[in-house]
Amino acid sequence: MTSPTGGWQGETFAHEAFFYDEDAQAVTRCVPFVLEAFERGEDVTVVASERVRQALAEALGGDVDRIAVLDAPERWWQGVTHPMTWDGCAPTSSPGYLPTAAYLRSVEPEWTARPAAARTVPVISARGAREVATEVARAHGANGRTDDMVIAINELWSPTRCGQPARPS
Amino acid sequence: VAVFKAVEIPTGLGPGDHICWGFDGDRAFADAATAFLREGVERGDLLMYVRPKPFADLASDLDGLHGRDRLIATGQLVLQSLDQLYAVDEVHHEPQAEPFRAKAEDAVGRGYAGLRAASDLTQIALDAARWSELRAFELRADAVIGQTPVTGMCGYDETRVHPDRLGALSAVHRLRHRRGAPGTFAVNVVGQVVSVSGEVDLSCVDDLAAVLVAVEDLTDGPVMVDLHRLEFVDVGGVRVLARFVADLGGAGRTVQFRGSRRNAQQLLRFFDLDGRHAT
Repeated sequence: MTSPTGGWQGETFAHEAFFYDEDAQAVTRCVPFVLEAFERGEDVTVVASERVRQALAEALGGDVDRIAVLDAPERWWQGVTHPMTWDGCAPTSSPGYLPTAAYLRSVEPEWTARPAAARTVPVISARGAREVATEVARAHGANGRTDDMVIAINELWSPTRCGQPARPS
Repeated sequence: VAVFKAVEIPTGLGPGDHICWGFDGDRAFADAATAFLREGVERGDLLMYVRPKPFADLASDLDGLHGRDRLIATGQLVLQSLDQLYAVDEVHHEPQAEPFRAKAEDAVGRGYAGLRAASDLTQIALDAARWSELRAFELRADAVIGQTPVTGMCGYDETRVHPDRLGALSAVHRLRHRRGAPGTFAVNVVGQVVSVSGEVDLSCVDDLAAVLVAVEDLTDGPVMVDLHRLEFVDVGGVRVLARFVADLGGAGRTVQFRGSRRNAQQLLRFFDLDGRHAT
């Protein structure tokens, strides 16, 4: 039997477009997709019309409560990233539109104060950053993923050096 | 065992040691070489001092070497201008490291403990036309010194040689005395096996690329890249390895990897190079 997500194994990005003529078709496509996500322990977001949401709720029974977000497009898609919208007759300016940079800032988690016990280590090279990451991973445990943590820190550091001379000339 | 070692003073060295000696100005190398050769006298080595200077100036550099004139007269100290020693081979169009092996074996045959050579190679490093040959020469010399009773000091004036070149030159020496940072990785070649060790990241990928160009010239046929002392490599470093594979592949040559750690294995996979990993 073909998986509801085809050959996708959750390791790379997948973005499927599904076209339907009747609400029942949407339900037939979405229910196995949602159930598979439940089996994998993944969070599910469903943004759909009221009719489709009702049909889905009937098909899923009590499991519908496991859906993390079940909402209407007009509430979920606030139009903040689209400068124009459709007023039913013609394109019109979207009142809630935010320029991309402002939108990204608005959805970033708020900065919180650094914990008092946090250690601050100035580093001036990628190697120094890796040494600190290795030390922290070993001291506090990294679930066997010290290598991953070190390369992540290294990759965070490296772009900050782009465009700057590697060495004094 | 460290893949390379930063060295502060020009003594405490012995056969098999190949040091990149960065210095600041003409006199600084003469002083370092004097101390280096003095230790060679104590060890009973045949001594060579090589710079782009006439004989009298070479001798003058070593005024501080006790018994200098006697050493010259007995043949224990040989002074040579750079061009005499590093003459370009007419067949290979590259300076050859093999004469060092022959000189060392000859020295041992004559009762010396080994050969100790201090050479100021700044002039070659400054010459764009000889930059490629210098890298290949240093890789060859490193292999020869590792197998024969030679103690080698390669001097580079850090006030004149560009830091990019010094980075690549450091990488082909096991011992380094640098006014700047000594580098984070090393490359050495034995036969068709190229060992890359230490740490390679964005700050030194150009140095690795420069050394691998010399490896392409230095080797023939298939190449094995041994990564088992490569403690860290980032995406930029593996991209350089991927380019090396592609360049050799373009010439009908194959590259395999062995001994890579988990970090390197993951990145080799991103570049579809994991299939080239020898089991």
